[in-house]
Amino acid sequence: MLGYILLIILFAPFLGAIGLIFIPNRQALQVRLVAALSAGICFVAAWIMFFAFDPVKGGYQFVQRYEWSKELGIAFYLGVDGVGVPLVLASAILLFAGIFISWHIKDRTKEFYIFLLILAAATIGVFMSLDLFFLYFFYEMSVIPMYLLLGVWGSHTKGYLAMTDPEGLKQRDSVGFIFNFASNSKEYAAMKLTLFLSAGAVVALMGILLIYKLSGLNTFDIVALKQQAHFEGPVGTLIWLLIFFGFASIAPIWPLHSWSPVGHAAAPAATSMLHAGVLMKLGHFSIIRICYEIMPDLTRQLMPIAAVLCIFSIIYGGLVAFYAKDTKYVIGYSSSSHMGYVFLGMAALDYISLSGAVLYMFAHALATGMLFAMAGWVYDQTHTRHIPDLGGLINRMPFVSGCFIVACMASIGMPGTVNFIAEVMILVGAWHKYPFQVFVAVVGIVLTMGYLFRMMRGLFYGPMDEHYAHAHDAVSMVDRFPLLLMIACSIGFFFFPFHFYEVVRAGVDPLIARITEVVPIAQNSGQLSAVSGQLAEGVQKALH
Amino acid sequence: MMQELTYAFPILSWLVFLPLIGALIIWVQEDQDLMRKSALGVSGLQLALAALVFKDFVPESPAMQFTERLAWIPALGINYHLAVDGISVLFVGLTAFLTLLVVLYSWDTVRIRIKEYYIALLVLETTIVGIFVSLDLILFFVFWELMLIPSYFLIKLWGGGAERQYAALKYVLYTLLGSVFMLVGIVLLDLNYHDWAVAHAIQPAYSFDFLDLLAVPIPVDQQLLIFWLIFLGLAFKAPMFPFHTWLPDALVEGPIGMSVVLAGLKLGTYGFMRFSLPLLPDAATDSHVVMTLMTLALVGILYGAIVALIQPDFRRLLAFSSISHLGFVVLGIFALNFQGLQGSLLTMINLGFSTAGLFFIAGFLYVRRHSTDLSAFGGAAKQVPLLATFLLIIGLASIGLPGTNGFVGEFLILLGTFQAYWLFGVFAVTGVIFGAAYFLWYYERAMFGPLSPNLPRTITDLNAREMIIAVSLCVMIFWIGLYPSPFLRMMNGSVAALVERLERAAPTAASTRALNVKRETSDDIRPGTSSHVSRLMSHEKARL
Repeated sequence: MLGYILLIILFAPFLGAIGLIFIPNRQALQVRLVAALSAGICFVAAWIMFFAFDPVKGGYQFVQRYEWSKELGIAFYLGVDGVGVPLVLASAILLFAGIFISWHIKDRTKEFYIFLLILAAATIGVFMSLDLFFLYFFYEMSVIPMYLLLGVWGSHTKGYLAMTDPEGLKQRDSVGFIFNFASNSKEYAAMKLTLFLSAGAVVALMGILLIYKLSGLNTFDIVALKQQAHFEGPVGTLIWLLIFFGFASIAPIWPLHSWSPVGHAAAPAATSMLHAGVLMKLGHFSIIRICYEIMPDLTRQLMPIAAVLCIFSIIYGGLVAFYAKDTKYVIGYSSSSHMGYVFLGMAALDYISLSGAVLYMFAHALATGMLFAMAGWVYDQTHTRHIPDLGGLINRMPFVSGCFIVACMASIGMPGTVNFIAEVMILVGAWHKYPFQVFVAVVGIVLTMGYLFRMMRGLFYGPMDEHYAHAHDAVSMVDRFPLLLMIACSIGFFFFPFHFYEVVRAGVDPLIARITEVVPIAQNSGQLSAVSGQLAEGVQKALH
Repeated sequence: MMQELTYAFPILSWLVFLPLIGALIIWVQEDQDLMRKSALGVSGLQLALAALVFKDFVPESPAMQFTERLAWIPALGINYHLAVDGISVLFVGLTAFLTLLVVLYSWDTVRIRIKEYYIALLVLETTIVGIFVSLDLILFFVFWELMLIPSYFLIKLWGGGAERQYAALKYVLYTLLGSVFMLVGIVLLDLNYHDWAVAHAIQPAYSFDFLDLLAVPIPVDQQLLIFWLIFLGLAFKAPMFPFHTWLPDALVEGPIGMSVVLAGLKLGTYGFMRFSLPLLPDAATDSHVVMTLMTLALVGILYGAIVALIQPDFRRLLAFSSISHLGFVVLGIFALNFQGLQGSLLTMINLGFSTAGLFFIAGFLYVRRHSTDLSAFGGAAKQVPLLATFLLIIGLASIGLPGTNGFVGEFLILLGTFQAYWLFGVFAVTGVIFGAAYFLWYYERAMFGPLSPNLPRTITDLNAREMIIAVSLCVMIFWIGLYPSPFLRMMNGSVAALVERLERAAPTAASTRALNVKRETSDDIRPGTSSHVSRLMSHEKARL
């Protein structure tokens, strides 16, 4: 049973999507229940996997391998390490929450849930692939559902034109120009996102195919490549850069970020959650999986690129978020700013900072997921995302505004949320190597406070417009549950991070040890590690 | 040595001539309904026969199977020689499958000259199956030329466009022009065989038989000449850039059934794999030849995709997209390695489901609006949700979404190209992005957005007959996409044998002439027999 846990996590949403095809769209409740059931199975299985993961043993666990093509060296090879586990868990939590967040979608409910489930399953597939072919397979697979979710269920951005161009002249960048889209339309966002992501995927594919060709091992198996392949010299550098920038475009690192806020803004709430929460992490994860594992020497030489670019990501994203007037733009730019922290944690190549980066990905998934969920709620109630038009909503929706405050705190990294631990770990770990970047990151935190408080004030405080007198709070359990779930996870892991920390360290330690050839400082948490190992054993036993 | 397997009854002759018998049956009938039913029955029987061939085909074997050989014009060494191997067997099934669907499609969409239509269609099937199963070059050429007659009439008489006369004539003239060169090439092959046969006193003195020709060495400069002559014939038919200009006209002006056959069955590129590569291995591995063809393929990929991007008419878009896809096929073939050839072969089959499927969908659109131009649609997904769904699935298969057949083929081609010439691969992958762009953009404009005022409220969704077509295409798309090994296993043996032959040629291309001078005969074997040929082959193998 435990051996197949990854298959259950991966295929529950897929099977749910297939099952939905056969349910008529009229029976909306049935559609939602099937979606919730399959996401629920995935969710429960992900928690079991999380607790059953043995940090003492480390390495890839719950491995499943099926030959797909012997001649080509492709196998359907699944397994998770300490880096993959938190991200699979985050995807499962966000998917489960997202099902309830989009409970009230009326337009083509069935199709919406089908694409949402495929999107989440494809994302999860990337996080557990140990074969480059299937990593790419799932990565590509996640792009097209995004296109449809944006194109069909998305919303146009009214405030966008006013924000970028006060004269009201139509501004178009190259994508808008070629395809003749107004740049505030959802079609524009969908096309831009698809083109950026498929271009990134194609660049990464070049790198993957070059790895396959030049390693001479005739295999896509990451574990085999890690042990036997060796890349160096200009060609190695080229491969590394192709992989890095191919995947960094989804991450998204400055200057490849411009699709991301546009995409977030146009997407429906649950899609934004998954998109900002886990889809963007595909980039960091794939870089860790491929660059860090297969090309450790090159990573040591070239990762400073990320350390430089992350400065721009953090500051630029923060400043734009400060001036944006559209709620989803604020959150979208804040996400791309916060992804700079992850790059900083990765670039420092330190045990603490990389663990912090992995933890931050998880923490950020929850925080951004909450923010997008509530921005979506406010939009559904008021039909606007333009901050100056809103105000005083706390009178109408006390519960949502309460949750929103918690989410803002989490996003800022207040103590009491898991984001705090992650942020501190990144800053502490990166201090020795990149003190300037740490300084920038601290400025970024101040900026985050600035724009989130500004948005909070704009939405919930001050006088309320009469227009919004009909706005409802989230009262039913269906509406409250996803918010409470994400808050509980965010706060819960602040107080009980030990198993989490051990799991992450189990994944990060061998990586950093290989790259820096520095032995980790004696584990100060030896006791905790033993406790965590016992926990995993206990769970495994209980399941047997 | 090429092994030959025979079968209990002449199944390939049945496959070739059954449609002809069907045409005769239809000829003597008076009732229109009976004509349709007999066409359906015959093509159903044809598919059953093809299924029997698949069932009894020995996979993973390079042997020629289901062989039939009768002397036809012994004086010239022309035989009636039919057989299939891993390269051709799938095409036979594909032809039967597509013809059956075309018959279904034409059921109530063809209203004039029904008798002649079905006769032309079935004769066309006879000639196409003939092309795929002929192993005698003259027999092949006869079918190749005969194919023009029914296609000419199909385009001219049942075409939907105003320019159909022009398109039909253009198609025939272009293809004939290429064929003339090809005939010269075939004759040169025969003369070369004749010289060799006379010099070594073997019988028959003349032969157009593929297997006989395989056994005879050809001087390199001769090979190059023959290669280019045959290339012209194949390139016009395929059509490769820059010989493609007839294709958009024929596909747009002709009837849908004809477009399906022309776009779905890649006769030209089949010819490369069947005849050019094995017969002329030194020419095919010559660096100038490879570079020229790879460049043409690359230009074709990018040119086709970019032109497709700006087409407002769906059928014209498909025509250019099929030029782009054909570039991928040629690229994979001239990577000259196992993955490339396998990928090209699989892609040729895939296009029979995806591109041909899109033409069926174009037909469904055409039936509803008498146009496939964008101006006739807009927001159509609201009116015809099923049609929109199938258009999306088949379209995503054609742009190579993971999980569909297109991905597997495209990935194998790129893998092969990267193995051989990675720089070409780097440029070719950009074609993938254009592919996503042109399809999604058309789809977005035609299907999404507000319902266009041009679109009458009366248009209906797919009827049962159209559903059968769409569903059976989708089944094949997902089957190959998720579990391609049965198909790959069928082709493996022959592709491996072809690669082996090419590899033997590659290093000795320059020294073949020297070897020719030194070649000796083995007089103790009776010339002309298969054991003779086999000895010659093994002799050569030992020598090289």
